[in-house]
Amino acid sequence: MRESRDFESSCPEAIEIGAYILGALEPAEQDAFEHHLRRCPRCQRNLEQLQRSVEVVASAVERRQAPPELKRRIMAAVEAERSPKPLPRRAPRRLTTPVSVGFAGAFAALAVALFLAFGGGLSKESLTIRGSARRGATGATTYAAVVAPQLHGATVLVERAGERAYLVGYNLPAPPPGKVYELWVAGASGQPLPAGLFRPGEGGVTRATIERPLAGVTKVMVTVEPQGGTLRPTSSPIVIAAI
Amino acid sequence: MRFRLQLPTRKAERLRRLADEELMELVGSRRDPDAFGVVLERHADAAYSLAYRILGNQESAEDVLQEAFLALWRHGSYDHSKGSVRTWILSIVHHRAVDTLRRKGARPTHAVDADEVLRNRPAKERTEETVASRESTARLRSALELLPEEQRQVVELAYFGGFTHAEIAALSDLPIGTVKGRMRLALQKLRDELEEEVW
Repeated sequence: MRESRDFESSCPEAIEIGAYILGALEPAEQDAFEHHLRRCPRCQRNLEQLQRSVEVVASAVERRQAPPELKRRIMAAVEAERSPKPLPRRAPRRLTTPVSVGFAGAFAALAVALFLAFGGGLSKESLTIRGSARRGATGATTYAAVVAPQLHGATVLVERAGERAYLVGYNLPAPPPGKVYELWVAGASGQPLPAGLFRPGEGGVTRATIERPLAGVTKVMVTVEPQGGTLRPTSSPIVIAAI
Repeated sequence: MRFRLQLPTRKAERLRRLADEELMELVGSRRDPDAFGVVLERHADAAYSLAYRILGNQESAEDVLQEAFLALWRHGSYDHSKGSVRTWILSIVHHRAVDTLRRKGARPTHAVDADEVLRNRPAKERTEETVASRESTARLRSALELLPEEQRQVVELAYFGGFTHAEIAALSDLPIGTVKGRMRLALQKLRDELEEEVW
């Protein structure tokens, strides 16, 4: 290896640049160096020159293949979050006034219907609209669910690929002690049928198979039930997805 | 099985011909998930490999990758000042993986021998091990191996181990200025190696 080129080191702060690029400065030092960078063209040039070096370090590891399932999960979330039109994205909005048009309106109407069907629990005002149904880049169709506020900002999707379907949850809190989450499916009759139990997965990601054929199913729901589950829901749904 | 986007053929072909920067432009301005999917497909393996190297297990690596790519999708207008799109993505994954490592307190808090730390890192893949599966990886690993041992060691401790310069100084019983100097010299030498070769 030949000798390294002369480094523009006349700036006394230049000694920090390697540690900065490698992420090895303490937070206060990092802030200070970034402040310095904004005012020092010499360090900016050095940073630009050396930044690519770190890619060598990052790439000099055993090559592994990212699990296809992981990429599918990421794309399902992306599809579900995509705004309906090619416009700047909007944050999920909380419904405080009646929604009259579009998918949000359909979800609110569905939530109200289920609220009545289950006799309480979710209120229209307390629901957060998370998105809408999308045909995924992976071939699966993803449906964004309406979630109740007690789920603390969790995101829930239902993925359907043919007759198989899964609930995918992000940041679902653990159910209360002695309780589990139970999946339900319902068709035009509105009668909910049990479709499996699940608990939140490790690392904030949950994937639960919906254990019922989806033919004729129009809604997938989740309730909190006693350990072991029940044959009929004993509480109001906390997740509702229109299929 | 490799992940493949099932896009309409013409759009898929068009997107796959675009450079990363152009794809990120579509992601930023049009919220195009198909363009994002191509970026994911191009860089997921490298990002996953890096996260796995730092965290040492599949579950944590998957979590970091998911967080990082969803953050790119949600907030990610590409910043050219952060280098290429690939460098930028790897940088985000690196930051999140190191944060996870630090949160879990997986690093030793007492002074121990630096060689011992490197030997005991989870999923240790020391650069001298012959595990490279691709020519490019082998070449990059080779570039890292060409560094003097004392420089390679501080780079690995910082980048893969998440240690700060002060922690490395304590581990190695070296002055902080020496550690910082070795980091900078190592990156300069890697840059010179890159410029000697055709990418």
